[in-house]
Amino acid sequence: MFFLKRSADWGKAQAAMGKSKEVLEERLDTFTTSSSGILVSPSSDQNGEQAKEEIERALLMVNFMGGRPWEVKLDSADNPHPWVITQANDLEALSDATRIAGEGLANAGVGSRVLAAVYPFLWKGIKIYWIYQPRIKVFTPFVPDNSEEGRDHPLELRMEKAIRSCLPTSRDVKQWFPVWGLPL
Amino acid sequence: MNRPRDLGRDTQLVTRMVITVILLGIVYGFFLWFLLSVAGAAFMLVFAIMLVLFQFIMSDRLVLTSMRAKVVSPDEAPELHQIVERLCAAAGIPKPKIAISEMQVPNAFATGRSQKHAAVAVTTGLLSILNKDQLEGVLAHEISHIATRDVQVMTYASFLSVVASTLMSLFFWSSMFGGMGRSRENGAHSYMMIAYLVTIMVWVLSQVLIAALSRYREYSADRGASQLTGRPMDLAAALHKISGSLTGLPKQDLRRAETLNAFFIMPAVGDGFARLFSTHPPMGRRIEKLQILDNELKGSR
Repeated sequence: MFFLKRSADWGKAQAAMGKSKEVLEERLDTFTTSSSGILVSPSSDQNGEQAKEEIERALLMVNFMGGRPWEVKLDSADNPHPWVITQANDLEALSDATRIAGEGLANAGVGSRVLAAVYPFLWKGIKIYWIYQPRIKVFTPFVPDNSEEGRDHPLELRMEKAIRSCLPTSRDVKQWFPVWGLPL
Repeated sequence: MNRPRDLGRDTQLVTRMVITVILLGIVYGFFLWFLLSVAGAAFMLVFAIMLVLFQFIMSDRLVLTSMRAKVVSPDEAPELHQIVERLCAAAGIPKPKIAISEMQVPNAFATGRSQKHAAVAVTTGLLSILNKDQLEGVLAHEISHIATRDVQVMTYASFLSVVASTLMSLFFWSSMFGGMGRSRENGAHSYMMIAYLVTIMVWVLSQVLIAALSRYREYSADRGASQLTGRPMDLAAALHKISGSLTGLPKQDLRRAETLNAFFIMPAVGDGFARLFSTHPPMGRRIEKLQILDNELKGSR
């Protein structure tokens, strides 16, 4: 029951993101990029390579679906925390792909190890991110600035305020975890 | 030189200041009448007023001393002076004294009995946690307090409150040890006790009035700061940091946080009863108002 409820939350959150395009563009002047990512944690008895193999098997079914307007693939970089990268031309297709890839991972028993779904957007030429954290079921903003591991707090605050009416977000900044070294 | 920005015909602030001063005037008028005609405590009143008048004239220096703040020269704190100079030029007020308090608690304040006798102080704790833009937001907030003269009104209002509080102590000790040369038999002791109770009431009432004005003037100064810098969200971020909520902004990556099991931190937030005497409005509300201002400013650009 717990598993099904989590999966439903995952789907609803991605669908909400898919429908937020206009709000994101109008209120925040942000524009969709053509990719998003799902961050997965390896299990304690796996190394990075084994985790990747497991995820690749989980994605097989997803990639069997025909006529889809998106692509899902595993990031090739050597990384202890594998990334599933989705690509599509618009936000709705991108969020569909993220939803389906997440469900594929959940069906393969990897769902509990999904740490985040990350959606990059462009704002005045820089990349800003919405991070969906399935464990707390909310989106949190993340804007790295030019300094080393520095963040643009004012913009993050503005992002959360602007979008809270259409996305599940958290006002508690203690939950706004950064994700550095994004492949997106 | 650019024309100073119009910070403030904040009609609501002016109205509130006038109403507060009138109400305080009524409270203290009654108090004065009571002291002179009922309690017969003219001597104590004169003594208290002289004592507090000294404090009032020295107010900026006394506040700075009590906060362990040291006035710094442009050579000692060039960046701070540059920011304040720029903000004062924009607000059209004389540059106040600038002081740094060696305290780890992040805070800033403005004090003074007039725009010419004003001072702005920041703590070293504040300087260590804010970036330049956020610091400018906080200093603009303090400059705005001086520009709208609400610092003056607060100094005057507090002056009366301090008179009441000084008398409160005097009456307390007099009622404990008998009163002003009169014997206990002729009822002086009872008079002193009543005077003590009335003084407490006057002091509490003045504190509530001051706190009510003070909460609004914080919103007004936030608005003034937003107009001076054009960046309300920098002040919002500074407020977050000062309140400690951005200090809680996680530094560790989500992947590392998972291993630290730090996902379920849900701090309880509430400010219930103390609000009546609180001189500052709730942080969340100030930040929300700043976000609205930010949207308005963006809309007008």
